[in-house]
Amino acid sequence: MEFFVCICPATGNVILDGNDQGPNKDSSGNLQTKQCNAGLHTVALRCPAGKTCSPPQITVVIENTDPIAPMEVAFQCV
Amino acid sequence: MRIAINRLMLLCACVTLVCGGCAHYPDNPQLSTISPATGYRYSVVRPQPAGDKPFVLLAFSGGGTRAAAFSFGLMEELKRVEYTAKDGTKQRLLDDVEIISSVSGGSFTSAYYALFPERFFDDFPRQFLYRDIQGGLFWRLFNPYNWFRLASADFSRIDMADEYYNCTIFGNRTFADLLAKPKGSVPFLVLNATDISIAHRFEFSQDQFDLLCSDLSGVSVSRAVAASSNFPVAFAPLTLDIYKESCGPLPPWIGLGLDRENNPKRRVADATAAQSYREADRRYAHLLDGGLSDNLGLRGPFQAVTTTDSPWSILRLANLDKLGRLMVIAANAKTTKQRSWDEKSSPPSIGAVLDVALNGPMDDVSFDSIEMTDGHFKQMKQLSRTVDSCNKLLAKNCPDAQQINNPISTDFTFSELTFDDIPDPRLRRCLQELPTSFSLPEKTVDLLRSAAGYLLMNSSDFITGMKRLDPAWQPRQITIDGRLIDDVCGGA
Repeated sequence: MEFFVCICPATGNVILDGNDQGPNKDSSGNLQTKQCNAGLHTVALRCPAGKTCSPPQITVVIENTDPIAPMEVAFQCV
Repeated sequence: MRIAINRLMLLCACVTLVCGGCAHYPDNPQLSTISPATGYRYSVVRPQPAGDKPFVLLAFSGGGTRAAAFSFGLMEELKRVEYTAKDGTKQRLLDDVEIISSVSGGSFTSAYYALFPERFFDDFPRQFLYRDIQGGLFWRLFNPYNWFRLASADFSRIDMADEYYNCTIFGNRTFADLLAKPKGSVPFLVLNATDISIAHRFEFSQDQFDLLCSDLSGVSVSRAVAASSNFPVAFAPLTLDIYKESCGPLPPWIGLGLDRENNPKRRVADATAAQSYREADRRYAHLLDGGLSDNLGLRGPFQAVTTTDSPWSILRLANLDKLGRLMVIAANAKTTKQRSWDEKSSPPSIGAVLDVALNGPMDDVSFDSIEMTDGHFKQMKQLSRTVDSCNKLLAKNCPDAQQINNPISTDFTFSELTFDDIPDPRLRRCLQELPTSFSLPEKTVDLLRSAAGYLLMNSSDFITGMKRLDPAWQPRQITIDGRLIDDVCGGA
């Protein structure tokens, strides 16, 4: 099992390989760690209405992570 | 007059031969455009689960009527399991079953339940379990009309079996009938077969049929069950059409999964298998018994629990915070025959060797599936405990530090019901030596039903899981009728 977080000043939904995995933060603004299988994935963030995600999508190998040190995938909503 | 009669008979024979010789398996219809919002998919037939309810997933193994009766016994017992939910209401665990994944004999039980939940418990024993299915199939071979049909290259014994199941058990129902049921009223049904060209699991879901550009709605449920229980040699492989006109792109994970450098081998293999349906030279898929790739029906659930690639990914539900409690119950009707070969120097017969060659690998794969699922759940619990321990240490030694978010909030329970866990050695041996066939005596069926209930109510994993769900819950005390054991297994 692999773990990752989507870092972004804004809150948006995490899209992994085209599928919605829920918000990147909880209601208190803490980052929510997401789970996935090891390997090559595309990660995107669906930003709040009126904003677009930058970069639109990141292709990344997610491996060798754990729940204490999840992989960080960074975005900006602009 | 005599000449006229002879001519008439000749004409009838010619018509029969021509019609029979043209016999063709039922084509699975073409799909023009993939639509994720339609078709027999988990997300279409089930509402998003509530995170506070148990998510129950059942896996039914192969093993002919033995497996069908054993899984039916599990369903009967689940119907009786009630617990008190957090809001104080009484809930039936059977109503929490989200998905049933099945193989071969177990697929008759799961499919009948999904199609006819309201009359399942009353009708299924008479419709299938007590019926001599094997005899029914055998006698069809003596119908001269079928001889001509079987002469066709596009019609084989499995298509005849499909017709028999369709007519006598499943009432001509199709996947469209399953789709027509109110959303969430029955579990999502995963009938597993094996695609023999790529030696890979093949499930009857629209997500799988998207790869073939075919519409599952027009396929009969009996055809899926026939494929799932298509025992090698007894039947010929079942054929599905693969359409080459594009119906839409493949899911994104497949392209990503084909990268050999950056993916585990399992993911590459799954992506390669999925992509193969779009290769120009693959115009047909040939299916055999699901047991050849997974005789327990656990491979699909394992992929769903451990990956986001599965079309019905359960891991995704965890990410969406909709998976508070996952309970997997596997009804494993595997047998363990006692061999006396090693008492003699002469080698076992060809029949005995064939039995091992066919069933040995299936048993091995099933054993691996159980180990993998159980191991995964244990690993997840351990990871969760590690995070909790870290947080305790942080709170004690660095009270100002921010606590670590624990992403594993699911409570996992895995229970396997197997004859190996029957404590009475006579009954255990008796069940382990039952034959694999589609015809068993009524009392044997009844014994299997009782055994399933007994095993569930005595499964320490199940009891522990239920007590975490409802601390006041108590298992029902079940005693298997001694006379029934005597009748089936012989006197003590």
